[in-house]
Amino acid sequence: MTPDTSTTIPFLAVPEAINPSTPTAVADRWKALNRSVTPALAALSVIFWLVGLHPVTPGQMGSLGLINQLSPILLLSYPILLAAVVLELVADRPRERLLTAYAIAGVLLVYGLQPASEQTARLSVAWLHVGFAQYIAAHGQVLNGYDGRFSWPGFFSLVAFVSRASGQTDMTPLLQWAPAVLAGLAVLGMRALATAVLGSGRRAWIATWLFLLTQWTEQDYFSPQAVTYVLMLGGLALTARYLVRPLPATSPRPCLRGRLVPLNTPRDRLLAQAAILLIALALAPSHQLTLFVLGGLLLVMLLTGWLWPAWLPWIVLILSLLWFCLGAKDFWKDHLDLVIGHVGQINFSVQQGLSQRFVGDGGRIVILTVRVALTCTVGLLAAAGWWSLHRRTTRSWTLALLAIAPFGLIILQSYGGEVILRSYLFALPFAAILASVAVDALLTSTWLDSRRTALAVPVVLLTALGLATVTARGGNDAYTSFSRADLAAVDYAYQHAADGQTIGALTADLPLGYKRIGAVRPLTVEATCPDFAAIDACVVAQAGDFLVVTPSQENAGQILYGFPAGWTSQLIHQLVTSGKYRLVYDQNGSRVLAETLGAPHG
Amino acid sequence: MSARIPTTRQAVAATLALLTLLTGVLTAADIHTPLRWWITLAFVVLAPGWALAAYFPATEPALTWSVAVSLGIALGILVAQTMVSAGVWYPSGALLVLVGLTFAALVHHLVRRPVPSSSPPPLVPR
Repeated sequence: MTPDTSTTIPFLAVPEAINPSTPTAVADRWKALNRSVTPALAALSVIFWLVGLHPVTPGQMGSLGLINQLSPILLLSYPILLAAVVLELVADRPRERLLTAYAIAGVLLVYGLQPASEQTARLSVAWLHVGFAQYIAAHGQVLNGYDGRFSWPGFFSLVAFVSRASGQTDMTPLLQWAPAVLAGLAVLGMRALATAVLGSGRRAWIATWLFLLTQWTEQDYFSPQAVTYVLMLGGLALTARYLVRPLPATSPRPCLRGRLVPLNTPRDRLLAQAAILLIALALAPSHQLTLFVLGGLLLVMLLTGWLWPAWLPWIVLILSLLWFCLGAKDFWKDHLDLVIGHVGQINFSVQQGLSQRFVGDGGRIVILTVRVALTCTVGLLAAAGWWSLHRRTTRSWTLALLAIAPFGLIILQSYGGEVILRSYLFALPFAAILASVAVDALLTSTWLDSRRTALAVPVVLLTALGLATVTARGGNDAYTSFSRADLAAVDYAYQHAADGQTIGALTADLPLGYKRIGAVRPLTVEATCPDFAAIDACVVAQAGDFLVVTPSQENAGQILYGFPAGWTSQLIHQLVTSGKYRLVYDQNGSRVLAETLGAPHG
Repeated sequence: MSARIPTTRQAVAATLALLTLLTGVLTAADIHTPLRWWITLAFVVLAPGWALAAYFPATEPALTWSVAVSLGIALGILVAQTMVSAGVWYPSGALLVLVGLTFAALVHHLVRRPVPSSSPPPLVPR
């Protein structure tokens, strides 16, 4: 019996490509309708998103962060866009330009959400990075001994170079939209890698979308790791396109000794190797981890017989070691224990990266659980994709090893408790490639009840991943985002602080350090107080010449430490009545205390 | 006589050459405008890298642009870091050198014959 397609919802309609029983005339009509339906759905999605946006300040957010503040109409934009994507992907001839436009819309919806709805750039570290770049712009050199990150100054030097050459002194306008731009460039790199590995078909688009919808790590703010990640993806895409030879589909074993010359010209291969070397040279002084990971991934490709130029992984690893030994001497001579002190201590890394992070109130635990669930889902989809490939065609372990290899970092060190997060970030490109095979199998599966279900299941899956990522990314925003009033308070403190004075914050959640690096010292009571629960005593002893208190810090205390509501006001009251500090600035809950002249230090 | 239709490569090369020229003029004349920073940033991220990436055979646009951005940022980092490490901090002069070299490469792309594309099969069979 012919299905009555005239009454079906257009975006769940069954395309003729996967329903050969549909009569040609009806199918043609539906094809024509669907061709206009997907752009209409995508446009509707962006309109919903724009209409649903509204300004959000940290003071409005609870422990679930941004997700609680999002309007239903904005949330509706995600499934609508993903329905457009899935319908376009299953069309007879998916239109590349439209899929590109949908991917740009996807980047805006997922990564542009916080820049569009929050008043200023979030994450205090991003502001500190501006301070580093401004110091280099002004002095033409790094500030030795100030911060370990100055030992890998490539990114800061680049920003300083461009800003100084164009006469710009304030680099903070770069901050707010940096996550959307840098994540967009990473998605571009992922698309390039996916097409190099999977060809230009549907799977490459699915891999790109899986990457876009599951990159919850928030390592795309204004930072060396965000920029070097883009470079790494570019290098991997070049490698996969020009320097590897596809293994025969039935080859079960690595063929290290019998590596095959890729199917291109010597000129192409020479150019690709030179380009990767150039990228590696830039990565070495820019980030401590990325070049090691790139070298490791290239080594996996070599050992599994994929990579043709055997020298490439070694030179990449040597470059990273050379910079570490010579360029980053200032860092390791003081922190050698930090670098090699926990090698092989997997338990320590896992505790730091996972179990010790599960602290805070109920909302915070929910957000952490969402992150773990997202990571596990990507892992399961990747495993299913690998199994599907392994069973049907490719008996190679290379892709699986490439997706697993970054987790080897856990053996080396805890990376300040971030090693699992970073490992996931580096594993994601190849995990997404494998997972795309599983999702593609869902789209074309015969075991689902109907073809309509075969379309609905991926839409639901992708929507769930996307909304989970939006939840996870905004989960800390109650304390990692700032308002204009917070920024004005910090600016006030910088304007009034003399050289050599300190500006303090109760927790690390304040945009400090974005100016006067080396002249005015930023400090955080949270970082130096041995028992933060007894903060009163620490503040008296350590708060510095100026103390900036904001709603973000109030939220951090409540969410992470279980302090009662109003704890910052209570503390301010104590400090003012003790005569040690006086309130010199108060705007919308953002307050600055200045130490009273002549007050004794605790 | 029929006019030759420019290829995509030539169209992009011409656009980026204009961006390069604009950056060079703004820098050399030290013109102060809020746009100058964004134009310079766009130049550094896009133009030098594309000028190099376009020497690869024509391929998927995502690969070309991903490589272009990666190489552009990499070149920018190398130029900046060399100055910082050597203690020779002349950002405007270095930018003008980069502008000159990039412009020459872009003009070469405008006049040279294209390299035929090579499309190897995907690594993972469909």
